[in-house]
Amino acid sequence: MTEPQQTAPHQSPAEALDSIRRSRAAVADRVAKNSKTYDLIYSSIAAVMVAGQAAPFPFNVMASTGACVAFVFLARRWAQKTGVFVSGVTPKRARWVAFAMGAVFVVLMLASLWSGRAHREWLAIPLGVVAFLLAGVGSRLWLRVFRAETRDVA
Amino acid sequence: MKAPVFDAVIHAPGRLQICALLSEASNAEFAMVRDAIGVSDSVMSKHVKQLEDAGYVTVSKAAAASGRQRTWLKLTAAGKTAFQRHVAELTRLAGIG
Repeated sequence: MTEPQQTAPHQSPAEALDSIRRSRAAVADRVAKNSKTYDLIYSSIAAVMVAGQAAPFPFNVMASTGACVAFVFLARRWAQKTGVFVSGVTPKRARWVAFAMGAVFVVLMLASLWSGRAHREWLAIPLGVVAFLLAGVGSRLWLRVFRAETRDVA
Repeated sequence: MKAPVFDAVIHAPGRLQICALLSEASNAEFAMVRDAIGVSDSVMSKHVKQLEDAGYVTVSKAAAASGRQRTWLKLTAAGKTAFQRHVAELTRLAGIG
C-alpha cells in the first residue's frame, strides 16, 4: 500500500501537538453545534422524568422508562446530526459534571416520589422546574469543562 | 500519564489528526473526520485501513434515520494507549512535559 498523502509531511513535535489540539477542538465545536436545542430537549426530558415520579404506579415507572428511551433516542439523533458521539462520562474531567448531575437527579426523583406518597403532588411541578433548570445549567457546564479539556493535549 | 513511546503508525499527520479526533469522541462518522482533517475519501480510507490493520481503530456501518448507510470509526483500547504514549513522547520531544 502506498503511503497516503500527508497534510504536513515534516512537522516538529510542537507542530504535531498543535495539530492534535486543533483536531480535538474540532470535536468540541461539533458537540457545541446547535447545543442549545439539545439542552432544551434534554432539560424537558429531565423535567418529565423528575416530575413524573409523583404520579401513581405504574405512571411513575412509565415516566422514568419513557425518559430513558427519550434520552437514548436524543443521543442517537444528535450523533447522526453532528457526526460525532461523545458519551457524557467518557471525558476525564467532564465526566464528574455528568456524575454530579446524575446524583442531583436521583435526589430530585426521590423527593418527587415522596411528594406523591405524601399526597403533596403539587411539589412535582417545582421539582420538575428545578430539574429543567439544573439540567440546562449542568449541560452547559459539562460542555465548558469538555472544551477546556480538549485544549489540554498532554 | 502513559510512558512515552513513539509510534510510527500514528505519527503521520493525517493519522495523528484522526487519532486526536477519535480520542475525544466515543464514535465519529467517517465523513465528519474526513472533512475535519481536509483530505479526500481515498486518502482517508487509506489512513483508516492502516490504523485498522494496526488494531487502533474499528470500523462499523450503521443505517441513519434517512436509511443511508454511514461509516463510524472508534479508537480501540490499544489505539487509545498507543495515542496517549505517542502524545507523551511528542510532549517530551517538544520539551513541554
